[in-house]
Amino acid sequence: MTVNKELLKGSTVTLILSLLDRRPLYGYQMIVEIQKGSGGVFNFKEGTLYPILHMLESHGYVTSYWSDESEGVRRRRYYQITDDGRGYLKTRLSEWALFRTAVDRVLGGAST
Amino acid sequence: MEVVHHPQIVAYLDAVCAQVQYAETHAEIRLEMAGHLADRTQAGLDAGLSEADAVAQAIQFSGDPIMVGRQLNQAHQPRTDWKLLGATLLLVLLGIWAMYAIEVSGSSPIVGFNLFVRKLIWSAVGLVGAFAAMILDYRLLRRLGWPLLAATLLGMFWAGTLGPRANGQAQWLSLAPLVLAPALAGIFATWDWQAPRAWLKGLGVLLMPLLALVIWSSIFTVLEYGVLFWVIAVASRPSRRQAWPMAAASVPLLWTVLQRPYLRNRLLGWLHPQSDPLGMTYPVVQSLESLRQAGPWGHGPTATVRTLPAVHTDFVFPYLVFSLGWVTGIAICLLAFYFLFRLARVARKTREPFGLMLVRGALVLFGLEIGWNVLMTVGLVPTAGPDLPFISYGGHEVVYMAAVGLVLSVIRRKDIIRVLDEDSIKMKLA
Repeated sequence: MTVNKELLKGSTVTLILSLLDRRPLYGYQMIVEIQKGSGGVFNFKEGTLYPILHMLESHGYVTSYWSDESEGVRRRRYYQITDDGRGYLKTRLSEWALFRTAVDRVLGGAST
Repeated sequence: MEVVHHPQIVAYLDAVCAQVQYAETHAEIRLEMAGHLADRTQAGLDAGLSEADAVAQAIQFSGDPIMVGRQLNQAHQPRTDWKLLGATLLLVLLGIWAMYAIEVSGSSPIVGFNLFVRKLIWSAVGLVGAFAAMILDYRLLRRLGWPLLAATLLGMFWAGTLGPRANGQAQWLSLAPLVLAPALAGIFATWDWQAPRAWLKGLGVLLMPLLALVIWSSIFTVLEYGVLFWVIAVASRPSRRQAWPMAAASVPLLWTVLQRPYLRNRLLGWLHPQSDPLGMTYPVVQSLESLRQAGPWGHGPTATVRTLPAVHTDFVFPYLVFSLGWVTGIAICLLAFYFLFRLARVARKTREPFGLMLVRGALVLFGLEIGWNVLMTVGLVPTAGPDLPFISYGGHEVVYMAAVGLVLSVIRRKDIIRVLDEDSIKMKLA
């Protein structure tokens, strides 16, 4: 089941999965939370969120469900993290921690 | 006017979907992205923009529709589980090898029977069947649940009364659970337990095939159908009050099976293997003997074993262990486990309810058959059981291969079909 891995490598995936680790969200909510959380630093093209989400679902890292239609409220597609997704998030976070300490160390070495 | 029908938003979504090859996915993509654009437009309006500016801004934030569409297209392509396919092919190759070795070593009980060539032919037919089933949209079967059940019942009646017999059992009936699996999946994918007398109908679907199997087939087939029914029917969520009569009805039937003299002898033989080593318990005693003598590396790839009965069907596993050694025996078990593990993985990743039931059914059937066959050769379960799927000789290999083909068809379509309409059923499955 090979799907394009390139899209999954970006830091956006780590961001999305850690948001979903807290609670199920739909796409627009994720964008709003990422923008709020980063103080507006992360500002990517919003449409590209959906291919990433669909790819994550194809991989089995998230599942989705549609909210029921009710009076005046649009149906939303909510995404929910799976156990596989949690496992993947964990490796991504430890990779990130390693990378961050390495960069910090180099920068720290350069300034002294 | 609702903002999702704004001409600019419609044009944007058209441009996105034009890049996505499989049209069945368009409805969900549209609904999802239209919702997003509407939310973004609303945010713009709240910030004091005019509607035209708010829509233009939402589209600008969303990014190039062609790029988004292309990336979406990659997320919605047919998938192939190469590892499942590979494991299946390895099992088939192992079976072809086994038949070759049994024939050239003169271990076959049937003299002058072209085991190897016939196995090759069945395997080739099976491969074609698997490929056809994979290409076919498995959802065509969904509407055929009831007709398939009726046809299978007729076939079972024929097999039980007029069909060929072996060891006191109607031969073809051991295949019934495999054919009943898609029938049950089709029936229960759209089952409504709230409908009047649903429990009675469910009871009928359980009992009609079960009765035929109790009368004409082995205890294994009865158990197999029972477990299959349970896994598929319970996935459609009956209430406890509805499940009760079905469970209660199964008990006396099982009791009747256990009372049959033939099976009683088998069970006694299983409990006391040395009680009748030249008669009833001969197969398992010989099987254990070949396993004991095998050693880690076996007696040579084409070793001769004349003592194993049904060496090309029921007892192909002890032959392979005797000739290739128990290290290879363990490797074969691991390969079978891996095959089942891949099936379980497909089941975990399938959203569409009918496909999910099909894959779960296949997992149950293959798991029971492989598990029982291996356990019976070591004397842990009675020998009234099934062949080793893919490896044993027989025309039912074609049906096994078609079953794998169906599973591959489910995987193939998992990202290119719409699931939206089946949500209510999906919730029941959860």
